[in-house]
Amino acid sequence: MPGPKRKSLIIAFVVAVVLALPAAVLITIAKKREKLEKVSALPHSVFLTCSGKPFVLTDPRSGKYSRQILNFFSPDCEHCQYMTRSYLRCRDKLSTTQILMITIADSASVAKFKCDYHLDSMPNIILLRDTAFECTRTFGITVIPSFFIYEDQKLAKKIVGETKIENLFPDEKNL
Amino acid sequence: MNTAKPDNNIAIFAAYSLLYILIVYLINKMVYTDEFYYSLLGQKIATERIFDVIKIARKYQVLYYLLIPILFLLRTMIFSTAIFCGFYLIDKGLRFGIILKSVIQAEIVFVVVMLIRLVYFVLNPGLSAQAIPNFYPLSLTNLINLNNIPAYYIYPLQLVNIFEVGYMFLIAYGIKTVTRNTMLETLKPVACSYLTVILLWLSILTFLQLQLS
Repeated sequence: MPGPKRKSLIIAFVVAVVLALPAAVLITIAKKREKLEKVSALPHSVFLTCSGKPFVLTDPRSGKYSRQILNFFSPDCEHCQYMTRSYLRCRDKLSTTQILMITIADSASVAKFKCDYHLDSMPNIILLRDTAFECTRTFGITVIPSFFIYEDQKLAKKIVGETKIENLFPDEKNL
Repeated sequence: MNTAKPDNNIAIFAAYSLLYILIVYLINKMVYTDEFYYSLLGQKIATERIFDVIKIARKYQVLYYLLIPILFLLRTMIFSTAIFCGFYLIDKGLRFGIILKSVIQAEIVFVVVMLIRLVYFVLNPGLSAQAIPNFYPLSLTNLINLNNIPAYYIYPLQLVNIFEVGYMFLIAYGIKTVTRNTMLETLKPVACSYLTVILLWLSILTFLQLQLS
């Protein structure tokens, strides 16, 4: 049977754990807010295109699109595949928005995904590989698909998880 | 000091489990209908995808009913163990069976909560689909406009309710009648142990919710 000293130690340990866990939660909330603040304007993150060239998010060549959607995805995720099929279904109405589909998957998987979904037919969709794990480091992604919608390089909306295509393109009618 | 009769514990446990299953079944039949899912998810995902969600929900419903007694057992064991440790640490060691019996008996509080929810939903058919999962009787959620707060605050606010207090009192009362200690002497270790577990559970759940938001 443990003595009073050991019992006091056990109680102190339990109290420490009970105080530490809510503190960890509060720290997580603060970090989440801080990350969202950092991406409130389009960050200068660099990704790789399918051909291996660097692609900077704030590249002035993207300037012709006033709206950009950063779609973090995985080629083998069923929800991401559904969202891609939705883009293709509405391709005619989405041409004024640049959709950047970003993944941490390897180049072979990305190439196969591009081929399977005939994404060459939509020049406004660019597949990008995230080799520097910007998705977690800068955007704090924990769920795929996740969407960051930028209007004039300012974050307008963040959507976590699969969503209706109407939520990504609220101005487009009859999608 | 009396000892708890295990047969009695099992009978109460089985009765409450059946009651839980019956109420959950009625809530599923009367509240969580197809219309509920379409209304709840209609703004978020496409109609054909909601159909898939309903199909999956219906497919695994039996499994969910089977899980109810297991989760119920898990909860009573966790709380009983925590309270047992609480009494042990203040040198008032009690038999585990006595605590387990009190915890199982006090579960009637949550059966009542489920019944109130069912009756409330049936009497308020116009309740929005968003309001249904957030409703918890006599909790802080009834006093706050939930539209203005992040989703991860809702569950902690639901947990601050009169029934949780009643649950602690009932456990303490059950133990008190056997040990013949005063109510305050019994309530202190019960409340400390119970609230410790609740706080740990809340922290873990909120942390996970934050990670997935």
